[in-house]
Amino acid sequence: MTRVLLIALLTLVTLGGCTEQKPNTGLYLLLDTSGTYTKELKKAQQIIHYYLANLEPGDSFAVARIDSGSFSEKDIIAKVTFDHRPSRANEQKRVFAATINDFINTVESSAYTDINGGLLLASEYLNETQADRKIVMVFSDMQEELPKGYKRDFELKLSDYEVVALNVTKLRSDNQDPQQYMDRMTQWQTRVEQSGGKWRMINDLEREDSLSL
Amino acid sequence: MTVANFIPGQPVLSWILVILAATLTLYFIRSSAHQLLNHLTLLIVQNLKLLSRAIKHTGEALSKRNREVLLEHGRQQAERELERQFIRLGNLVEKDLARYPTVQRNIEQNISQMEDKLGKTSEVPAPLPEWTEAVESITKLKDSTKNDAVVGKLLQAIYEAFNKQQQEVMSTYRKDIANRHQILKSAMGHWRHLLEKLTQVDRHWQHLNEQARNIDLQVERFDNMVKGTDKAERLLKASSTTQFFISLVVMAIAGFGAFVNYNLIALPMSELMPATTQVAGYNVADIGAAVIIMLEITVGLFFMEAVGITRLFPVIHFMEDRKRMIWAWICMLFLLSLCFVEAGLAYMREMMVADKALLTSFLVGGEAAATAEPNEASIIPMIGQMTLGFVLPLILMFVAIPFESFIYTGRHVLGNLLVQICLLTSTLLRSLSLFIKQFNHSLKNIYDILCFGPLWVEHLIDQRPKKSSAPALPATSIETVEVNDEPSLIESNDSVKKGA
Repeated sequence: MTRVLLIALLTLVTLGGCTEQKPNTGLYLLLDTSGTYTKELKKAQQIIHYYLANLEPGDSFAVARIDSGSFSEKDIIAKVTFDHRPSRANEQKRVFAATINDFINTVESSAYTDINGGLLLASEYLNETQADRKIVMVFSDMQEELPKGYKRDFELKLSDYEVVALNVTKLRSDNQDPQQYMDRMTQWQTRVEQSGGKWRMINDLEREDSLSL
Repeated sequence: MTVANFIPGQPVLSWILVILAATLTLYFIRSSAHQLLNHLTLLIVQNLKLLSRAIKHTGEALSKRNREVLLEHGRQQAERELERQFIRLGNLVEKDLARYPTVQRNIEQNISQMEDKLGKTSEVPAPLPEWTEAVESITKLKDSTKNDAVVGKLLQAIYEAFNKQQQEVMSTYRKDIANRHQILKSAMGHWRHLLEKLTQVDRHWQHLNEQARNIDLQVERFDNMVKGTDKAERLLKASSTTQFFISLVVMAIAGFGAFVNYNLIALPMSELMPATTQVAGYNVADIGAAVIIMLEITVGLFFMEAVGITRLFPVIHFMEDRKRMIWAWICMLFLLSLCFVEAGLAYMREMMVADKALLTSFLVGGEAAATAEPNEASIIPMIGQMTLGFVLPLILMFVAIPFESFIYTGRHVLGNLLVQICLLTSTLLRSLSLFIKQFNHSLKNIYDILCFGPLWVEHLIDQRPKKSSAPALPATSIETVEVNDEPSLIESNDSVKKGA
């Protein structure tokens, strides 16, 4: 009898030892709210809905705005780690979508664009979630403009991160001199890759396969 | 230094010299080389033969064991069939013989009633009135008085009285006869009843005889199994293979059923178990769904065992009847609970799918789409899913029958397969040993071709007529070696056989 109990206990311990957490995803979406780019936010809302529909229980999702000084928790619009119960997770998704909707309807343009601050905040949040796959999406024209006195030449730590630039619209100056646009993109790519991350750019938001995680 | 430069500036000569030296070397070491080849061949061939024999013996042992297993299984089957026949016979005897006292009483009652009625019919009718004595008195009168008018009147009166009385007697007689006929007619019913009862008894006896004949056949079959006759084995083999494939097909169908069941409950299980946890790469919720199905099958197996349909677990099978029935009821209770759980999960699945669809429409179409009046959805899918969730575990319970058949016949079929593999391997090893033997001969022939020159010379010397009685020493020594080569292989083979 003791032997049987011992075997049962051993089996349970072995099974318990084999138990592991399902690989989860942490997604952080930065929304540029500077200048005229706020007009693009309706597209961002669709993307958020797309990811809400695709993220699974256990995944984390946060949406933050990029404004004059983005390295602040106040800029986080909504954040959630989905419950392991699908019904509860669905409820969380509804609330999240409603929060985003409210934000998009009431958003005001900011004077500057602090992308680096947003990236730093995103990396901190995703580190806390301990997600297996960390993705930062930047919905912006990638033109950084900082207020006077702001320093953003710090070193980013983006190992195991994927940084995806979404809907990078061309500025008027880019149209005049496309080299500016290309230089800007190269500069961001270099910064991300030097920080240990992977760089990707998606401009065609209609293609579902390019958006898939 | 290359062969061509062996003698500087004379490549052809160098080649000839080298070839000549090589040929001579081959010739002089020919005996040793042949011996080496023979020994190597012997080593490989003997090992192959040993291996082949061992595998063959294993195959034979397996075959013997298979036969034993097959006959044992057949014996058990025959025992079960015999047992069933005895139970049937017992029921029959119990049912029919229990009624025999009633039937007997009934028959006796009928017979006594018939006897009574026959007794009534044998009653003697009332005797004729005594007017005959009056006629006798008249006949004794004197002749003179016979013609008297008074006598005439008297006779007339007697005549009339006689006629009247005769008519009355006839009427009474007829009535009496009619009564007897009525009694006999009523006795007909008793005859019929009696006949019916006797026919019924005859039928029961015939049935009983038929059962007894069946039991005789079963006993004969059982006897064959116990004796282990070839006929019994042949019959069992054919039956076993057929049963194996039938049970395999049925189990495959049941497997598909289990797959459908799994898909039915896998999604809602994520509500009950953490969907974010995995074991060995599989979601705990999915594993939970699979475990529920396996539990259902297990409980089904126990139930079938408890009601005596299968005989997989001797512990259950040899329980007392009362305890076994309690066990069966407990299993059925658990099974029904699991059925209800599955029906509930199927309902939850439908709710989850609807919720997911609602969320998707909300995310795609916004608040308006989500709050829009939903179309009149049919509840048929939900009812269908719930019914499936309830019925499938009960259907899966019956997998115990093919499973038992699969286990018992699979052992025999697998054993047969192993025997065939053993025999094939043994044959292949024997063929390989033969091939290696022949290859050894061929190698030796090739070797001889390489040093054909000296061998030819040796042959010429051998063929030369002998001048003296003393034979040439080198030629004889080579011949001796050649002769001794072959027997050594044969002797070695024989020694191995003896050893084995």
